[in-house]
Amino acid sequence: MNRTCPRDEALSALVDDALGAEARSQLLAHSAICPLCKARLVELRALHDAFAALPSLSLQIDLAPRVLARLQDEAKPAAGTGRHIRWPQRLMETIRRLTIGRIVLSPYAGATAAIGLGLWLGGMLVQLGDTASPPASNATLAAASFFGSIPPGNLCPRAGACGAPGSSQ
Amino acid sequence: MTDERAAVDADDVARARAGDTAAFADLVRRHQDRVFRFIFRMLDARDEAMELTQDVFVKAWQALPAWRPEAGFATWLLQIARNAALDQLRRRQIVQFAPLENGLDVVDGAPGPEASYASRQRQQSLDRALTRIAPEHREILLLREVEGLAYGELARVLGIAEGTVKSRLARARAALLEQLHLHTGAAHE
Repeated sequence: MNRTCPRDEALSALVDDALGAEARSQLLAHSAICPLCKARLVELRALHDAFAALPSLSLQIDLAPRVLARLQDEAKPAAGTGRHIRWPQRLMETIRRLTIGRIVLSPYAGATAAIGLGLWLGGMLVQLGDTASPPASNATLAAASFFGSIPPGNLCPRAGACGAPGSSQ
Repeated sequence: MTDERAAVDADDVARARAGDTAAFADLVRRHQDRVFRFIFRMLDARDEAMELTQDVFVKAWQALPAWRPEAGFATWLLQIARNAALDQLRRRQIVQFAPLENGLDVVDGAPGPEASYASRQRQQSLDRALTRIAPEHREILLLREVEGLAYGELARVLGIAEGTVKSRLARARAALLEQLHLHTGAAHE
């Protein structure tokens, strides 16, 4: 293109049919005698035609039921507790999606298992306190005696130093 | 878009605003392909595009009270789609795009078997070149050439002046032609 040639912008607008009648006729007249502008116009029109020939992509499925289901899902918690809890729900939903079985591997099953394990361990400590050291009313202390400085079976250095008064080790 | 379709859209939006989900479902069905097509070509990823298309309609539902008839429902939806696509691109932090053939497994409405080999080659070259230009160039070309938006609508969707639309379109076309020339090895100017 030389200095008298129109800018690319004008040729682009010509392809879009976005020029006024006068500007359009002037540009067409110039392009008829200017090989560079003529070639550029041919390129731009070919590009326009190539876009028109692109396949019209289609989803081939109805998205409406999915969208409505999502709207319903989002509406339920929003009505009760406000929109600020949306992200934890999304997190839970992601975890749920990642798990294979909804019941076996769901976060609820994990929480139930953790509570059950805690109860079982606590029960063991109470039982331990009842059998190993009857005078000790505090079950936690009784259980902690496992980790005392004197190993089981050792003699006490002095009377009353180990366990309750009257007991012997 | 014809005035008749715009009127149908406006009617459905009014009913949807009143809580009529069936009316909103009609809007989804009428516009889902257009939104999906735009997002898919912006992102070059089918599953992501499908998920994001749903997001766009969920956002549209939430923003329905803000919609004004003069905006044009289809144009307004494309604006939401454009923002969603750009957000997604930012999240992915994509600078170089993968070739489109990896993701182009969507059923198309074109008569596939009878399309000539040369025509298919041209389409693939164009798709590939589109993935290699800047997102701001890609979006304006898709909205103009594929979705057929007028300059005024482009200005509204992109949030720029009409004069800028003109210059950006010219730059986008130049960038795309350059990519096509690079790919085909043809001489340029």
